[in-house]
Amino acid sequence: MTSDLWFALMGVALIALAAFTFFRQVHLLRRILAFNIMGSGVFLVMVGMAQHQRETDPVPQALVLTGIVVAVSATALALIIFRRFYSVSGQVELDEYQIEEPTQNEDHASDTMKDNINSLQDALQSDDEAPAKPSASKGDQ
Amino acid sequence: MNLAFDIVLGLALLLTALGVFSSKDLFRAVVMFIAFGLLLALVWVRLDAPDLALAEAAIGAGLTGVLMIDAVAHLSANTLQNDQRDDQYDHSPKRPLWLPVISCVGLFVLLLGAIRFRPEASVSLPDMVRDNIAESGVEHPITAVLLNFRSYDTLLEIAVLLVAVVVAMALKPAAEDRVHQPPPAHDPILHGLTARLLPAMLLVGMYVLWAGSYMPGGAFQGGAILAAALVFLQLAGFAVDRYAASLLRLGLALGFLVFLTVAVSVMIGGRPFLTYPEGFAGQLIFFIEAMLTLSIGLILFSLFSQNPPHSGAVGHQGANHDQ
Repeated sequence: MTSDLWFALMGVALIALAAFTFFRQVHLLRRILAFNIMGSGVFLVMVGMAQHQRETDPVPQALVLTGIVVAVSATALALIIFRRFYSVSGQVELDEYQIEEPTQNEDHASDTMKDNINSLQDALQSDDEAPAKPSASKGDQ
Repeated sequence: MNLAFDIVLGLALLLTALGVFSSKDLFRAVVMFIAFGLLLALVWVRLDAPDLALAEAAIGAGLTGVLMIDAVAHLSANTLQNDQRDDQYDHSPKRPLWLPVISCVGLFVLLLGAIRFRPEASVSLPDMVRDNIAESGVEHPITAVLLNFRSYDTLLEIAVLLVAVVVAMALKPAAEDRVHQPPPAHDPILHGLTARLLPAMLLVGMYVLWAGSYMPGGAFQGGAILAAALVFLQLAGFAVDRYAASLLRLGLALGFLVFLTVAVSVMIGGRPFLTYPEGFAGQLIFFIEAMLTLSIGLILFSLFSQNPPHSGAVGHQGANHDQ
């Protein structure tokens, strides 16, 4: 076994583990982290397999170099969108999972939800006031 | 011996990734992620790809790490007043486990099969690069691939970066909440150190750009160093944002515009799109690379500084309180 093949296999393991975490976690920041590691696994497979039992290959290396730069810009954009989402909704996960939240304090949860809907509507109406609203409503609770 | 080192390195990479996935504390996961990036840079060195090692250390570990730490600090600064909501987020919901397990094991097996039963390569790309490198205008094969043989990729890449930063600017909250933000804490040591380090950082960035034509280095690595220098400036409390309106916006699009202008203007001489005229390839590539370095540095920095502000030092204290 060459070290190129070994690192490609590590890349495969990273892809599978990152995919598992991506499905399993609901926190958006953790998903962004998992997505980044999945990308690194893909890069390892690309370079490792291209060089396995062959010489150093500049073409996949150049492709991966492009990939690293695009990955960081995508990550930065994802983080900006995440922060915007967080400042508007006050949540760190997407709404599809909110249904499964524990319901021991029903009225509290519905209040939060109402606040979120209000702040979302405010955000739609006037973009400028949006960042102030959710923090104000959070302070009240 | 070398293989033993590679095996240990690969296992360390896997373990750090597991640390990222399994740590309960978000800040800890991000620190593990930075360690993962540095180990990955070592892996690139072992895979005989020094260009990738440079880019991974500067971008994958450095810039992405700064961005993630900034986001975590933003998060913990805003959830400090209601901690009980915070730890409720870190638990996975009670959803069936078998679905992700099956899909991830299936993915693993399929990928192993793809590696085991891969088709034989019909052409040898390294040979093709070696045969044509004399005409490319540069001596370093990776720069030749990036800026000449597959320059479409690089042109589209800088376009993708430009789109990302434009979207980031569009998503930025209205500018007036920046005005009444208190000035960041002025650390005299960081301030003085940055002022003395900056010329050296710019020099290294220029050197890496210049070195790209005959050895590992080039526009991306140089741009990453430039971006790191700018992020440093911003963190040390220099008002880089003041120039944002005019200088930064001109620089953001410059790389893409220059590249596109060169690509189109060669068509006047009857050549296909993106084919450099003989004899001028070296100069044109260096000119494009210099502009790309400036643009990539400014774009990566803008993606960092476009983040909605979280009241300065409070965020970092918040991150410490969480521990």
